[in-house]
Amino acid sequence: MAAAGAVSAGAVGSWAYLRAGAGPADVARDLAVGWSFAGAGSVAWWLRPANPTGRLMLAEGVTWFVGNLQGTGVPIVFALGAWGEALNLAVLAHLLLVYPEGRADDRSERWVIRTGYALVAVGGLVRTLAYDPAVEGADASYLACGRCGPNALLLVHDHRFFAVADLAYRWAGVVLTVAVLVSLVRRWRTSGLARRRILLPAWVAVALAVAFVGWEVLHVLTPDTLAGADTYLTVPSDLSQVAVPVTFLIGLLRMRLRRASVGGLVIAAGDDPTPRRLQEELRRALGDPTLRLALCSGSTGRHGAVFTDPGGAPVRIASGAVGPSTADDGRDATADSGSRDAESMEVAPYRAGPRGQAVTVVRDGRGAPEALLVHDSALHSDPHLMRAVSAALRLCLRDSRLRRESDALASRAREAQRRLLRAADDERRRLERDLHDGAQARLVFALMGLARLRARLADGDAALRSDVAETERTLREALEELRDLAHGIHPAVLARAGLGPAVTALAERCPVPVVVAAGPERYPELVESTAYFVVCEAVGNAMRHARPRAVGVTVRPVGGRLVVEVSDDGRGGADPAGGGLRGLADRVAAIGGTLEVSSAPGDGTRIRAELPCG
Amino acid sequence: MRVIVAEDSALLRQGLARLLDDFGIEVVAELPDAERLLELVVAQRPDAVLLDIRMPPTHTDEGLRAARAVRARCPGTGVLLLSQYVETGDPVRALARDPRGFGYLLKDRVADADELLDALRRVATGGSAVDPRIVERLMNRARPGDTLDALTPREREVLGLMAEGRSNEAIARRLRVSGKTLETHVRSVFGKLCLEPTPDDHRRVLAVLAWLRV
Repeated sequence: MAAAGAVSAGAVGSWAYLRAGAGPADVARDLAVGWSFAGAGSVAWWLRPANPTGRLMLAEGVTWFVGNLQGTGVPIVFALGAWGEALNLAVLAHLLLVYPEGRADDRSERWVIRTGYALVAVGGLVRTLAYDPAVEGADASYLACGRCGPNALLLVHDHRFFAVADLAYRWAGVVLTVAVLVSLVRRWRTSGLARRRILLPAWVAVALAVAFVGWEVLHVLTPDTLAGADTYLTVPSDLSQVAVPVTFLIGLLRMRLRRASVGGLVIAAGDDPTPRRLQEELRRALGDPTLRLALCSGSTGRHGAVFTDPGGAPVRIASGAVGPSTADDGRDATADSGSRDAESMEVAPYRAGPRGQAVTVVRDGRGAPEALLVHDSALHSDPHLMRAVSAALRLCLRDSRLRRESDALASRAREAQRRLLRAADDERRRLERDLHDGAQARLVFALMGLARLRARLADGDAALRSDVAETERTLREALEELRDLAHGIHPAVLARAGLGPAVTALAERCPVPVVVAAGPERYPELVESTAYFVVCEAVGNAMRHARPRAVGVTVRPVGGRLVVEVSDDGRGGADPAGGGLRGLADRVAAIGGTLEVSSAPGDGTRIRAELPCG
Repeated sequence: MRVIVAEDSALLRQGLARLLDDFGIEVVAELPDAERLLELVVAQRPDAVLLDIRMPPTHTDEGLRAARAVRARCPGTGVLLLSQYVETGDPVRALARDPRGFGYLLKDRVADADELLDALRRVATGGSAVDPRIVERLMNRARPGDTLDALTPREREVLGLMAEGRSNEAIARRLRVSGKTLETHVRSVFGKLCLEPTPDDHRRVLAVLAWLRV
């Protein structure tokens, strides 16, 4: 419908323009510029409905034809045409000042924009009230229409008043143009790279168009100095004017193209990125090297949740800005629902920094703010892009949160398992000590008593002596059995002398030569008993199944880890998934270690365990 | 014979004291740790000291260190170490350096009064005594290309008993062979192990322990 409006406005304007005496070429140029603005604006509006820029461009395309209405010959329409003759310039200033986000950066820009419209409304009206086309002649309007009018709004029949009003109006326009230019320069200087990338082509196109218009004006004023140049500059001049809206449109659409690189974010998520890496990916995806990612640190400060950037510096924004999500579904944080102008937020590190920063809040599944993106406000002109980036970032954050949670869960489970093992280990140690200090000592004591008894009975009853000897034998066997039992529960040598002596003792009891390389170092109790268990099982397996000629055992610390290796020259072919080795691997894994088994048939068996000593 | 007993288990200490007393050995002091041992040895000049390797406060090598100190200060005093389990490291190394008047028994052995008294007597008179289980462990140690394999079972037995610090007579008695037969075995063992035959018990133990690469 807007496009239809623009087409009809163009048709009416062109008819009036022709009627005012313009040539077909002029009308064609006029239509081309107006319609290209309207067309580009419509496309932009359709593709980027959230961005007011498209509507502004369309408005520019429609208002472009307002001045032409002076050619209609209907008094009231003439009056409106004369009044709004410069309206498209105010719209153009508005468009330039808010491009590409469709919103002014600050108060001074908004002031310039409002002043432009106010000047047309008031200045244009005052001028129109005194504008008598019949008196002023062809010079008063670009239409050069001596035959136009009459003016329905002509109330002040005073040529001098009109001259003054007209001059004042034009000078006010010049001043305002300068104000616009100043604002544009400021806007450029405070823009981030992302925005400059979009601004530059559009402004170059505007500057070119203005330059060509200036050229033509010069040509009209002093035809001699530029003789002949006009003929071949007309085409580029026309093209440059048509190019302006097209460039604007391309700038808007280029931001849309960037959505393709959001995929990089999702790919990065697979690698469990650090916040710094994530920030880099966001910068690349959005083309904004000044972007900062601030993640919720989990703690709550005076002003609500505390966010920190990858460097650990806190990023504060005004309370309320990141309160609970106000989005209808309560889940989807988007650029629209979660962002505010930088002005309305207190973004501490940027208070003295460049303007043009905006904050996008990314929320987790429960609507709680999870991350802040402090970025160039130009990016807000593409809510789709920001929504895609927010979603990708949310995905990354959820992924790493889940990873953290599962890691925490796994480490809790490991910790519980380790505690159980340690408790069992401690219990065995205590049991062995109790047996040694209690039952074993008492048995030895009893045996010493019997020895004394036997000495006293040296010359006594033979039957009694034999009873004592038998009791002594039985007690000695009991002591033997008890010692073996205690050793099986927990070897005393391991608890008291450590892994090296315990493994040496184990090797010395073996029927096959076992060469031990182990130092006197002590390790945490659970590490020692696990390592001892590994050596026992590995050596025991070798003796039972491999028929080796020799077995080698090395026990050595390798940077914070205890490395235990048992190798034999036996038959090999041990099954790592078999019951014994499986249990060994489980036991080693329970304290966070690793077990490797290599056992090619005919090539011996090598079992290597690495145990963390921390 | 006069001895000092240092053992942290009160029960064993008491049992030892009674046992030794019954067999006519005077226990001049009973200590729960090794702290005042040297002082008492210097003052009392006992014939031998019977002490546990692991005693308070750290239960690591207090007894061993005290033994070293006693032997350095009063070389004439025999020292008999007691250990809870077989340890073939430091205690045996100390023994191998100088086995004169030095012995090393497992605690369980004290229940065998004859063995204990025999060992105590030997160290008190400058001989040595090594627990059979410790010798067995030493002889069972891995050594590639082992020349022990060249010994007959009887010769291995003789080697073990020599390592325990026993005299020829004691070995002959135990194996129920004549002195001459035993001497033949001993010569054969020394020949096979390429050791210098020596009549001196102390030097023989030294040579055998050195050969066992203690």
